[in-house]
Amino acid sequence: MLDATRELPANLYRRKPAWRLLAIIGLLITLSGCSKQDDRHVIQLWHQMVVNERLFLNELVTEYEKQHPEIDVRLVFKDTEELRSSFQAAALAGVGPAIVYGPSDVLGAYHTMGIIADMTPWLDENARAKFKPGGLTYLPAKDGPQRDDSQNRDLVQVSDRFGNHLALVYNRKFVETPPQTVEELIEIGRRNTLDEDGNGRNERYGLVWNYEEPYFAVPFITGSGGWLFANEENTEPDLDTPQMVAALQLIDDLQRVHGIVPRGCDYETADSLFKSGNAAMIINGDWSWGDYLALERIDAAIAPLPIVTETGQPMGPMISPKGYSLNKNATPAQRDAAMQLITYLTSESSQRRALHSLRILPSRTALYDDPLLTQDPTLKASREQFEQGHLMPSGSEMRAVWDAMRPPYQAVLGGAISAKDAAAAMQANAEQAISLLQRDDQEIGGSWLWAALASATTLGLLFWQRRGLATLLPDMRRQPLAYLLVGPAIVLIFLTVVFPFFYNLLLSFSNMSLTHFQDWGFAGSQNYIDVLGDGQFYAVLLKTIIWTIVNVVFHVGIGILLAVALNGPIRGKAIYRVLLILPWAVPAYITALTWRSMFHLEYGAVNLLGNQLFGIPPVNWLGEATNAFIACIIANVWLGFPFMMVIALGGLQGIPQDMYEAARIDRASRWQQFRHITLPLLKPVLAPAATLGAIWTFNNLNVVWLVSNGGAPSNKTHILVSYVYKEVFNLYRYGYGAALSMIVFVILLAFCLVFLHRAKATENVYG
Amino acid sequence: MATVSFRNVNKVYPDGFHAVHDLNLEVKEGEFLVLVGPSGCGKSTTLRMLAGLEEISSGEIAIEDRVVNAIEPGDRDIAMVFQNYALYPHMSVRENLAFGLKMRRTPKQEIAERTAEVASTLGIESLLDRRPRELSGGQRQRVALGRAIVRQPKVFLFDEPLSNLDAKLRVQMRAEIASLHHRLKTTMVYVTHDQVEAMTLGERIVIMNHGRIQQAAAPLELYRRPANRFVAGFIGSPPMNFLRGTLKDSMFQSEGMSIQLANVSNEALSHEGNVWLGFRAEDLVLNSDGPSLPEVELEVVEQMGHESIGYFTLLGERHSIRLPATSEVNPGSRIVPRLRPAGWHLFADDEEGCRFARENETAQV
Repeated sequence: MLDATRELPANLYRRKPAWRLLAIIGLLITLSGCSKQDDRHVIQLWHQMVVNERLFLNELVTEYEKQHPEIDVRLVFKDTEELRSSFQAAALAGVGPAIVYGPSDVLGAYHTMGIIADMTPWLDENARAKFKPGGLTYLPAKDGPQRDDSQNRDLVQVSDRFGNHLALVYNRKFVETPPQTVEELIEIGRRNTLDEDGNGRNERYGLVWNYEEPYFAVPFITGSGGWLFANEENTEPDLDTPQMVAALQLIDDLQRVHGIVPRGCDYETADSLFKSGNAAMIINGDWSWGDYLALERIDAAIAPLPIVTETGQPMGPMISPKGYSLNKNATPAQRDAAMQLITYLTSESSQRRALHSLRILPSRTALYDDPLLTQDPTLKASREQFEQGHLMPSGSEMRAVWDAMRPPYQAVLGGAISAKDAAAAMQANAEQAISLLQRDDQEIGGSWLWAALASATTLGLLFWQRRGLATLLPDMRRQPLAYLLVGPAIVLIFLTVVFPFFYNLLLSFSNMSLTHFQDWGFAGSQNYIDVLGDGQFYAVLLKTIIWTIVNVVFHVGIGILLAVALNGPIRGKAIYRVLLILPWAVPAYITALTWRSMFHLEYGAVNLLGNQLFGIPPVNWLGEATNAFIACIIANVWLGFPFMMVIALGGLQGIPQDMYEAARIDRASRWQQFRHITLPLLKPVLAPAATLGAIWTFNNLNVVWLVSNGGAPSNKTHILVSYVYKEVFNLYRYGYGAALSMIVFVILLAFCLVFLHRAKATENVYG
Repeated sequence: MATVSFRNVNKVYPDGFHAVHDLNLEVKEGEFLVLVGPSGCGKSTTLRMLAGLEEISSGEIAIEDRVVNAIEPGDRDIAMVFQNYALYPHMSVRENLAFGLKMRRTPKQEIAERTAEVASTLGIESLLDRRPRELSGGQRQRVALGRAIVRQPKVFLFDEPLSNLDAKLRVQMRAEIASLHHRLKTTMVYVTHDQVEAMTLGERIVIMNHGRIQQAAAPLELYRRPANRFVAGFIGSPPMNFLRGTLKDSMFQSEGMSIQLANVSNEALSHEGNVWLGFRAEDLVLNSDGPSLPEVELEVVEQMGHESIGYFTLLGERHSIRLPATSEVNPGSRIVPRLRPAGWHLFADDEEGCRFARENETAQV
């Protein structure tokens, strides 16, 4: 029989445009290939410089391009964390910029992953000697052949500046001469801790700083004569020391015994207290000084941190160089060109210009004779502080140590454990984290067995769907335009959903981690065994379930309640509706951060209102594990109810009015009408919405992360996704993280299927 | 069983719309009263005020001598059948029937008995475990009826219960409702816009227009002696024919045409200004002695089997004539219709359009 559709005129216009469309696409592709050819040598440079530094870099590069017309430098700005993750991803894929600029603390990870190259060949002995110690970052050579220079180490970064060091910023309106010793610091602090109106809350504090982050505790540790690592290479943590205990005790005393530091002081609180003139002194890094010095409200000045009298040691902060590293994927020609550029950017003349225009500490020894360093009071103090500083280790162990220190450190400040116990816990955590970081899961055999299993499953699925597949090809031939039109969507879905899903599935069976970043291979079900064998996982899962249930119950409950209220005959309905939808319209991270500040122990609206209106004593919302979790839930309930309210409102409007009239005649009370009519008739709309809500809540990273500041206190507020995030990105455990997220996926999938089935949610109640 | 009284009842909506004007009406015990009228005439509002679903602006409504103005619908001891059935979609038929009893804390045993009894009365036993969406329109209507009956209320209220059914089902359900009333003998108030439904069901019919009662009477009385031109035009199918003209002595004159009427009352004769002459299709005959109309041409003939209805135009208006099935007329036939001696009504040509009774009328009914 002849193809009947061939007779249809519709077939004519159905076919032709298909080819026409193809032709147009082809033409576009050809045209795009014909764009102007540029034979200049392109060097990409990714950096994370702030605005004024960026402008300066631009200036330098423009001049360089003038001198070297054959070079085209492309500068790309990314935020620090984004720079790290996208450089890793690009380099893993064998591409990425020739040069990456940033702080030195990520170098250890880059180097272990094998994505940055040794720069030794381009800098001879003479050139290297011109840098201050720490200006060039070396790391032990990663396997590879032994090199000529007996040192057997790789040059992984050439820096152009030092920075990130903490110093004491003081407000000259309150402090005449900065303290030389800790005793003086306490004394000045006491004098400046004032409760002027006698309401029990201080209007001014002697000293503030972000004491949630262990980075800010380092000066106290070095001042007490301690350090974080036992060996010179900074690979063996040394945290359980008397010096550490003394440092933690000192920090705790400043708050508890001397009362010169506010409780619950995070970065934002400290910063805003000092800026508003409500704090006499602040410990903060060089990145913040410019802001303080520019503020007219306060009369800020910089001074080195004081000396701890017992040890006679200055409180030395960490300093870290920032500089340029070379991508291992760069071709030899690119490397030569890139190194030439790096040499120019870190040259004496470039750094001198930077010193004068940006007021930053250079990395070359010669520049320390520059008179500006003694003339400018800020630079002078900065340099003094720098000289007492300690280079930040650039190995990946540093990251593990920060992670290990944070929970016990926060617990000490929250009064949950003693300084001695905290030090011991830090050491134990650090050893465990480093062993995880360096864990070298070997590829295992038998991958063919798994491959066979996967193939069999795939074939089985295809066989199961054989009917659909059999009709697919003829259908495609019959409807080419239709397939052409949905084609882009299918490709997009494949790229953004299907491929990542299977890639994640594959990773979950791999040993991809810091040690096997590029050479990852099949590791069997090791990751799943690790996840399911970890007690912490079940604790977090339980907390996640509580988190989800409590949230969804409140979301739906409050949503229905408000929807019913809004659905009734009330005045100003439109205004209420807008007001109630508002929490939803505000970006979640703003809401989360607002709630975080509202939960502040001393300055938060929640405690202030509770105290003034109801006389409730202040609650330590964010410093205590259960309270912090409740705070996260409150913030998320606030964020989530408007969605359910809107859904319920829609559902209510779909319930015929005569249902209620019939019920009234049947003598149903208001409550009975709600219970027997409203609720059951809302179920079909609310059940799918609640399911979605449960999934969103289960996976809601922002609120937990932002309100609790990354799981604080002491990593006790994590839910599964923030736990996954932390596990994966802090310790580079990609395979483990993939397995964890597959488990999360399975849990959610099972939940949805069961819940929707039970609720018969897809059923239509009306005829 | 109970009486229902409306005393000077008014309904004014917040937007100022005066839906019901000074309504006074007594529904007798066990009576089947039909409220009928065009849409917007206030009939549904009246029923809903009685049900308690609509507040009363002024006046009072009493059920069995108890003023119910401030009494909740559930406490008025009434049951209502809604136009859209208003069955609870998430409950089975059984639960729908039982809901009102459950809310009244009726013992479980009794609920089961009464539900079963009603189901058997209405022939819906086999549907008890189904959900409303699994039922046909007629079945749903039956369940809605059942939900009202099972409560054994003092008054049944029906709000256009048959208007969502197809014509055949409507006739069938009409008969069922009639027999239901016959069996239960409960007071029933029934709202419809369909005059056929009103005529067939009602023991007494209240015709409303613009929120006012036009006439309240038994069906035949309404048909034979409509109180005004509105009632005359509303009741009857095809509607009454009207001619506008003047009355001189007993001669009706209109645009050169004159019809001699007998037994015209003095009231009509003394009326100044125009009058309307109304006559029903069956009051026109072909072979009789009555006063004749001018010769006309039939435009349409509707064959009904037992009779035919012919349509012609007279003085620019479409008129109808009922013809015996045997008469051999076709569209195009020219006829001379004659008016049966007592087959006419005279109405005043004013806003109210009151009817003038004939001289010897009472004797004829």
